[in-house]
Amino acid sequence: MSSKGDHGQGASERDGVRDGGGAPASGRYRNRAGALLLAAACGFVLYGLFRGEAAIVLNKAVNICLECIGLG
Amino acid sequence: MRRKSKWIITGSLLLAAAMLAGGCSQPGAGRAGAEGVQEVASGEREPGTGADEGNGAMQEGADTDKAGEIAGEAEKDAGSTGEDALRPDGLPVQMPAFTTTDLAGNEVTESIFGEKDLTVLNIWGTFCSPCIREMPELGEWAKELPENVQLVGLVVDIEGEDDTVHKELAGEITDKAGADFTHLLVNMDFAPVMGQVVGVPTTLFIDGDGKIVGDPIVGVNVGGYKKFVEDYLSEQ
Amino acid sequence: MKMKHALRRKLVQIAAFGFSNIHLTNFRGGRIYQGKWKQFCNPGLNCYSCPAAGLSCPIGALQAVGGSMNFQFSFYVAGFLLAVGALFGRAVCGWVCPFGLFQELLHKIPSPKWKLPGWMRYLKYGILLVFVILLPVAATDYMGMGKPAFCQFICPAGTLEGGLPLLGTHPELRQSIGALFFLKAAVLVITLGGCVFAYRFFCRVMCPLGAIYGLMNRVSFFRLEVDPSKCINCGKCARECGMEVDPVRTPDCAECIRCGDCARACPAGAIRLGFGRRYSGKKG
Repeated sequence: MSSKGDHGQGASERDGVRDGGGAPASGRYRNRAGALLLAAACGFVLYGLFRGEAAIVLNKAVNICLECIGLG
Repeated sequence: MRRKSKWIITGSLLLAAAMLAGGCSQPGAGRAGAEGVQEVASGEREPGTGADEGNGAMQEGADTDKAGEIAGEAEKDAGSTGEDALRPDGLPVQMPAFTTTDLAGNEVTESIFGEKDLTVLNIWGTFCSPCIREMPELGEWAKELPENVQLVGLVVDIEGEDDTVHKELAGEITDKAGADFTHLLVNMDFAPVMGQVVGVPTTLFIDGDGKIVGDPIVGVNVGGYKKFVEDYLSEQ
Repeated sequence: MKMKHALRRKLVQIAAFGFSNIHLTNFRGGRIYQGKWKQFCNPGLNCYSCPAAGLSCPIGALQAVGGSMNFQFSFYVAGFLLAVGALFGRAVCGWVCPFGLFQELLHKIPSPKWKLPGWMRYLKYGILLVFVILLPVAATDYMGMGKPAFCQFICPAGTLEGGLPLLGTHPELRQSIGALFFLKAAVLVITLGGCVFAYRFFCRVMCPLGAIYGLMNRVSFFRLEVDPSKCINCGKCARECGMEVDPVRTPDCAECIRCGDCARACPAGAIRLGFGRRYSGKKG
């Protein structure tokens, strides 16, 4: 969640900048987290494709879903 | 900074590759959509090209050799002879001649309309949640109908004779709903009608001569179907 | 420089809007695109019932798979959103989302302009959880199919881009206009009004997609950084920010859409938007 997390006005000596959000986000931590997330995301996508989710997405998208546009 | 860019490029390529792989491996997503029973490319991964016609019933979707665009056929035939006369709303005056099977495997032709004074044709699809939800009520109503009226279903997302997946699903739905009235499987013969169907469920009313009477009811409205039947019968 | 940045972003947004809604000829016949591209998701919010839409809406897709008979959760769509978020965070909102562009244009309509109470931004997480994730799984019928609750009850983009054009071109649909449609129309009116008075009202208060991307602002590769050696703490950036973010205190705030208006406003040139880090610590 977003935070107006108050990390003070001064820069921390170690990090060089105050990173909002309340995380101990040094650059390296952040990059690793991002890379990990990206890798996991690719895994998700592949797994989802493998179990045929794309066909469901397509099916729902090409048939006018009266339900979806407010016509029940 | 350079290391960062490499990561991003790798990540993006991975993602792109994943999507491409997914696109290729998708089993035939050919679909007879409720709309004009359009064929979406089955099997081969051919994303539709940018050029699309969008006029009337012609629609995007990479063509395959599968039985062409049903709606396209409707466009061709419209208004050519007296038999293909159209109502103001675009539906044919007369239900087209057809030969198809129902879910139970029996062959059915347009003669089915002659069996009763009024046929309520409920057009639905297995992908359509509201259709599925109204099915139990339709099943009950079918049993309560007067002798000279029948309820017939038309399943639109059957992709051809060999499409067992959707047939089974449709069968499962009708079983669970207790909707054991006749359900026809759509095919190209229904083109003149399907070309005008925007979404499902759509319910048509057909008299004993095969003529479409009254206005189609689009969307779930069992009360509306019942009312029409009552009014129609009282006018006879 | 000032003009250039704002214009540049608008152009990117317009291009993205165009690519998202490329099948313009479909409006005439009131048909929707039915080709294979719709198995892929648009990174931004764009209803797939819009006649011109060429890709699927990711939020709609989440509900479609979540509400399907065999699955409760979409790895495919979630993975896509996580990947995009990991790369760009909420920059998608600021540069690529068609509905975001629409809201910005609405805000240009002259009117009193209001700030929003802080608590409102949390509503979108509730909407995401309840309407996009839970209800499609929970509100099922006898076949196990769930309702696409966000699309069905809330999404103003769907009403605007899908519902209205289709009602316009298909008279036979108008008979199905009932209580549900009036509910959605009301939501649409509130959204449109809200956007006129408050910058990107929908983005801040209601959008489940923004909620997802915003959570990844903290780890995304594309980021906003403030150079501490240049920043003079004048507060101009915070005042300029339409999303009411203070870039100096919370550069990774989940509300920041990486639009760059703050960077443009900074008199010291201390704010940077881009990939990679320059100021967050020395080496790795």
